[in-house]
Amino acid sequence: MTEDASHPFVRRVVTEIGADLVRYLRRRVRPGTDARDVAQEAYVRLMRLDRKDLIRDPEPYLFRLATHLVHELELKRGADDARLVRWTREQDEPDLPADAQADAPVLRSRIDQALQQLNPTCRAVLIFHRRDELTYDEIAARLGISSSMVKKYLSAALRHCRSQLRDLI
Amino acid sequence: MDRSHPLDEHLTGEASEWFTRLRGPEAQAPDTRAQFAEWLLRSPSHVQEYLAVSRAWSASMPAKEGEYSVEALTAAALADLKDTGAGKVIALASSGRAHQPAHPEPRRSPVLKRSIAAAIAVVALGTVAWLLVDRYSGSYIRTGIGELRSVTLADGSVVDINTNSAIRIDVDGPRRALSLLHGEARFKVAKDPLRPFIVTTPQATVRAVGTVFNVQAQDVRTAVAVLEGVVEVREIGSSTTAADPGAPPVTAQSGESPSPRHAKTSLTLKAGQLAAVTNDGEIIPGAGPSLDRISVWTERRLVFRDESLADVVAEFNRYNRRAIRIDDPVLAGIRINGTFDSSDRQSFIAYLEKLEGVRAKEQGDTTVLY
Repeated sequence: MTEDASHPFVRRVVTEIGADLVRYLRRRVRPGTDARDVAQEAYVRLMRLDRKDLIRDPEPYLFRLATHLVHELELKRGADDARLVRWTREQDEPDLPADAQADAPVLRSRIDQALQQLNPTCRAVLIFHRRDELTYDEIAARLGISSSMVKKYLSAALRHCRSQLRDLI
Repeated sequence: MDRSHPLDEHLTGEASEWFTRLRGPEAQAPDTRAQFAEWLLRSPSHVQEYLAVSRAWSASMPAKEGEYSVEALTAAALADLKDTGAGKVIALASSGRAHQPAHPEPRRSPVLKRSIAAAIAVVALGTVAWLLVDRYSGSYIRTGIGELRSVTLADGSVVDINTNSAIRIDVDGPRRALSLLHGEARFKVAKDPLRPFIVTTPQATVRAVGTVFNVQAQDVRTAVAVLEGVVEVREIGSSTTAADPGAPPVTAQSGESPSPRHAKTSLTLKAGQLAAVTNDGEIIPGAGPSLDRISVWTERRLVFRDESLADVVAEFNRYNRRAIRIDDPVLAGIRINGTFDSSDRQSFIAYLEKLEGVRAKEQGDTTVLY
């Protein structure tokens, strides 16, 4: 996951909607209860927001909230876990908890597996967009399908990847 | 994957669609953002799933540069689109903008086509299955207290499910059959004259072709309200006729005088009309929650027009785990007017405390008004 920060696409995302998304995505929310807790609390805080503020930019809002919550969760955990505190000081890397590295190879192999399982069109669309940063229109031109079909294939590909990682994220 | 529930899969599909929509050109449209915000606010599980899909997207970068070359990916995709006609299948599912395949579809027998489709579905482990059949069938959905869910059915109908409700959905057969076991739901029915849309509750059946209507199923009665179009309401005892459009309407047996119950065994409701069906099988026109309240619950708003505090509190308690109780019978009769956020119990109590003679105290898990 460390290659993410230097990747051009991520750089573009950072400039477009801020570092929060990337920070959230790089964090390792533990499976099960933690992810649920974060989502539940994010939901409650979204509900409290003025509807107008939320509608202006719902997605960045959500990522910002989730980021803060994960941070709070880790602070809480960190208070009980001197080792983690020491680790973050030594690494000068407050964003990345220790277990992120331990689980990275598992995640990696599962994603490779998921990519291989994908139907060829879904796979091509996902990789063209994710890795090669092509827009929907550019991918559509390359494959001779409509832009809205590209979106559907991408959505199907993401759905598959998420399903395959259900026990991890 | 093996353990995952069909509902999880469906939610993942919705979240993935939002994620891709927000990365396309339509993301700039204020409507898209408003709809997305609305979707997020429907349920904590929507928030959780959206975050999970974001994380999957982040993780989906291929490991090594050059592992998947552009040429190889393109060639495989083009072959896939040509061989399976998958592009065409998906285009049929999308609204309007049908894609014309560059190559004529190869002639295949329907059986072979089906087995190919099945093989693809197995290989892609659900991905292509979604492209072919993105739908609920024979599903059971429950919402918790305070939770709202919205689901789109295979036929394009949309069901909004209110707090603390249970519904069974089967829209694949010759009839679109739904059972609202308890709670409340709003049905926006896609038009299909050949397949009636029938909602069954413990007390009633409600039959529609293409319309928008609300059903609230409680222990003692079912309340139906029509927002658009026309529906037919029947008490459950006569519902066998509802299932068979060709059957004559129920009439009293010869030699028997028609009872009031038989006289009102079914009722047709038009837009703006309401009715309730009791446990005794009686249909009461005009009874049930007001249209004002029904038309805004999907936005988590509660509207009260000159209603007793007892009724208002009962309504709030539907949406919140922490209950409100009225200890003073005089307070129960106070008339309430106003619009509230159903999830914001605190503001509601603060509002009540400003009324003359109303005080509130916390008692364990309950707020007591006295």
